[in-house]
Amino acid sequence: MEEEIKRFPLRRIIRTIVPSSFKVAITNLFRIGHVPELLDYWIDERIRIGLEGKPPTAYQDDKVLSELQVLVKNAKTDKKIGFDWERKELKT
Amino acid sequence: MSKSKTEFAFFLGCTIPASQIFVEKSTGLVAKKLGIKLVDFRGATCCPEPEMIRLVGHDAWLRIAARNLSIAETMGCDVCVVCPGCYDTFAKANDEFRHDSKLLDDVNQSLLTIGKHYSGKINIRHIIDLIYSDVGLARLKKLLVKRFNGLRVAAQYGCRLQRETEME
Repeated sequence: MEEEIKRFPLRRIIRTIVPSSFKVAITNLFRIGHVPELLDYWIDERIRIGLEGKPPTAYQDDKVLSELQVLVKNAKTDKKIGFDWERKELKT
Repeated sequence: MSKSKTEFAFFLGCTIPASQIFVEKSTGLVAKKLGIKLVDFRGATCCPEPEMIRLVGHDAWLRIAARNLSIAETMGCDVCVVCPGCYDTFAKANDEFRHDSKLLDDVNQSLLTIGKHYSGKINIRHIIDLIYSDVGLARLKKLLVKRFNGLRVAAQYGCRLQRETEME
């Protein structure tokens, strides 16, 4: 980032409007379709008590996640809050 | 909207399947015992979360909620939720859709791009409401196995369950 500022001193740096305490939740929602990540420990525990390892949601199905991402882009929320889809994180 | 009054699309949310798995398991067992049929809510995402996402991206919040509810509509079932946060999101989004047909049309334009549609007719029921209103205390008493006489309990329903009174 610093190198970019030296090369393009007039370029405006985009910063997200999202408060820092919201960043993880919003990033995860756009990145995986849910707020918390599903850890391997909980997948094993789910199987141990007789549940499906991964629940039948965006945790399991990438098509579901891509539908959510289309809706976020339709609403232009990604642009409003400065979400970088390549890096899958908010611009800071 | 339900196929029958005892069949519901079981919306898990995020935290319950990812770390509070005892809630998912016990809800299934209790519902079975009480004759409530919970059907897998396949293809869901986060409801989405009722504070952070709604504050910074209200449009996306509405669209994601409508997408989830459109799945229940396709299933022909009302939604059963366990998480008060998911209940809050769905109840409030549904309320907006039911009072603003232009907003619902706008959201449906967006849903069309992913091949979905939501009419706004799905009802959202929390499991506590289902047990209290549909099963009833009289039936619950008959099913009691162990009594906890003398046990003092402080009930914590979850603040988001107590929504505004004007909401249907």
